Amino acid sequence: MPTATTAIVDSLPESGYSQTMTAADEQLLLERIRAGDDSGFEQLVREHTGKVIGLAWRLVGSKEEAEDLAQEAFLRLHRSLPGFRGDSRISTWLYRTTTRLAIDHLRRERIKRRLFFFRQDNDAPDPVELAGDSRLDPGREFQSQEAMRLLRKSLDKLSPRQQVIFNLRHYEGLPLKEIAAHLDLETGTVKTHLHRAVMQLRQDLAEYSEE
Amino acid sequence: MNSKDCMTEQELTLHYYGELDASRSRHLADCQRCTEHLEALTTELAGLPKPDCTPDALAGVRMAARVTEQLTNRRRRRWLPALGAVAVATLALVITFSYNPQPEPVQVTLSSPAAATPMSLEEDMPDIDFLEDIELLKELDLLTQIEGV
Repeated sequence: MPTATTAIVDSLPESGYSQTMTAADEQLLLERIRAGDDSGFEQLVREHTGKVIGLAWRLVGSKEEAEDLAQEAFLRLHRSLPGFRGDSRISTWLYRTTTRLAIDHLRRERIKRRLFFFRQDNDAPDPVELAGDSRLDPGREFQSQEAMRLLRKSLDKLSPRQQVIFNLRHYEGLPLKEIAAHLDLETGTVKTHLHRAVMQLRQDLAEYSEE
Repeated sequence: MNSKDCMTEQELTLHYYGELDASRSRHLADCQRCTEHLEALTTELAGLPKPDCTPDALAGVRMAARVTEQLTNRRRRRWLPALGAVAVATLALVITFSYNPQPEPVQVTLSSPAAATPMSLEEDMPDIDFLEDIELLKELDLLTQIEGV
């Protein structure tokens, strides 16, 4: 019997993580995988890769790092499958795991920067991410890239948790209750984090526009 | 509207994201100040760039190959210690049972031809290399002739 939390978490919004496989198809696939069918797991990976990488990319800001996180999420899924009860969809499990891996990753990067004085080069963000809209003229494309650079610079000032919460709410459109469930936090805590993230971003962007 | 009833920054943010109780949001209908603050907030947040984080169409195929390779490597690493032990044990067995020391050379003594029986002949039969010694064979013939006299 699904709990209230899993019931909420399973109802992902349109802008969230949808998938083509039905719940029944997913159960059949899981049974195949548990019976030792490796091709079944490959199918599962192909089904979910786009969404998992997309989510991780948005949360950590780098495509390469996102792919590493996605790989780790799938490897953990493989280890968890024998005990996977099916109370929630695979997509929900992956979404939650990817989010937590992203927070861990951002924390490690922050510690690395502080301990070893590695300063993330905010002037050279992910070139693929900043590829911009090819339909724009060069002038507008530059503005678009510059805006992205400043946004990335500002997001990096936030705590890992604030970054992730802001990204999940603002870009992924995930309700705060679901974000709280994914991160094992109280909804009130998530609201506070979101507010602080927005305040910091507004302050930074106001400073950048004055420069 | 009394400013003490005005919405906090957090409430404005939550309202923007649709996360504020409807009863509290009703304040906006009667407060110009909060409405203006909300408009400013909306302009800034709606104007944030949206990064395109869509992987290419082949990402799923690449990831499946990548994950499969990792799983295969992990399985191999689990079996390595056992394989190593089996290899060592096999090698030890091969060395033990294939050890075959060289035999000592046999001292050949010639016995009387008259007493020779087929069986004793075989026992006394020298090594094949000895038989190939033509000179020695000739001496044997000579000896036979002498004893026949």
